Amino acid sequence: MSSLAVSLRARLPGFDLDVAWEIGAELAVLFGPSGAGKSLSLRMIAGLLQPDAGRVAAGDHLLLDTTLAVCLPPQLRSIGYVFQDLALFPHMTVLENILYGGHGLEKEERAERTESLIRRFGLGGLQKRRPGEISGGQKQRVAFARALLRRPSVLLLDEPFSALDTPLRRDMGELLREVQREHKLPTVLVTHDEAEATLLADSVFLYEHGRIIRQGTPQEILDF
Amino acid sequence: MLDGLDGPALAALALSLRVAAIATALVALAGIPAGYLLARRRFFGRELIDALVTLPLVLPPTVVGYYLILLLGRNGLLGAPLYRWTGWSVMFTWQAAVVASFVVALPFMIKTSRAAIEAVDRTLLDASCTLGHSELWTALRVTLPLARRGIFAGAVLSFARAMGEFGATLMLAGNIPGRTSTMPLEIYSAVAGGEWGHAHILVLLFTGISALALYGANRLTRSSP
Repeated sequence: MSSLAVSLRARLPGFDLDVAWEIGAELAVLFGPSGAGKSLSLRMIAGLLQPDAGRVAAGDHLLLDTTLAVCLPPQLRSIGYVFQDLALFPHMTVLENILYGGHGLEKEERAERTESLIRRFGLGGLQKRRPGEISGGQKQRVAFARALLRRPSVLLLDEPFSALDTPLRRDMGELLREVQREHKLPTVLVTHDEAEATLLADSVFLYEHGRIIRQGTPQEILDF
Repeated sequence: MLDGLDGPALAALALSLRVAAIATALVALAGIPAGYLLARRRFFGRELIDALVTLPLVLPPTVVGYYLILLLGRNGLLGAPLYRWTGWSVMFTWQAAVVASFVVALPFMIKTSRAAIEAVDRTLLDASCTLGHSELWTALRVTLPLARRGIFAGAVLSFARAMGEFGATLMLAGNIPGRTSTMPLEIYSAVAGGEWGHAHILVLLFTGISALALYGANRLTRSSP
């Protein structure tokens, strides 16, 4: 049963974060102004930051529970994370970048899955290029492929399309939608683009000042 | 003038290159991990340790040499037990020149590699963690390769500094012709003894080697990744 249950509390300079939400194998959007705590939530789910108190569970796999003193390091959380600036390794080729995401896979499986992801994301022929030598949309797809290689149980995306222009944004959004449905992955996308949220989301959590002020379908939340 | 390029000059050159090469290898071995820890870990006394290892950069080499004698001399903190057990003392050997060069060159390696490692984009390290890789693997595959130019520049500076070491070497290794007289010491002896031809050629050689090293380092650090 794939799901993601999150509750986080943290006292931070400027504001307090206090959120709780749960999603199934769907695409959820964290929507709201910058500085509302959306990216912070993602970092805490991935284990890159520690909340003061909270619980994070992916399916029946407990990743964090401050009352039980459980706190898995990011390496053990099996979370696919796509960063805002994509964080491709500039000194590695496209192929090496994707393969780097295959930690823990058997060598054969790693090569097979890499091959199929390269085909799936239309990256054939670019294997030997460096990230500095490919387009923004291609970089995006490399970051997706790298994050998906070891079959994460959750996919987190922190404004991954912010560097792209509008037509390309739409294409990448659709690609994300397809990938999410194919893999039935609980997926969380942070954005402050309303059109993107409306187009992609199964459910929306509206963040403001570290709280969730509304939640529901995009129609309920965004069409006022 | 080429008359100056005789046996003692070549011996001094060979000794200097050997001492500087070994010292640089040891400096890299100790300095890169130290630079990494200072850049990436938060621990008590971090800046104090940074200041201590940087001290040889600002102290007169004779002061560094004095401390090294207190530490490694036959009655020294480490030197005394070493002499008791092995009957060997590092004082007045070519290895003492390596020790002196190591201590004065180490700050260059630590400072430059720390700065280069701190300059590596933090998000790339986070990405490596979320992809399941340990800190050690991340350091080897991401951090150090991306910091390699700064680290390399630090190694070249260390080598140049080790080649030029004079004061601490003189105090710890002495100036024994053919055994511990590195080029800077040989130049000093030549001038003191009025052998100007000898001094000329040594100075020219030394300047050429240093300039070549710096030029090569500049070229390498500027070329594309």
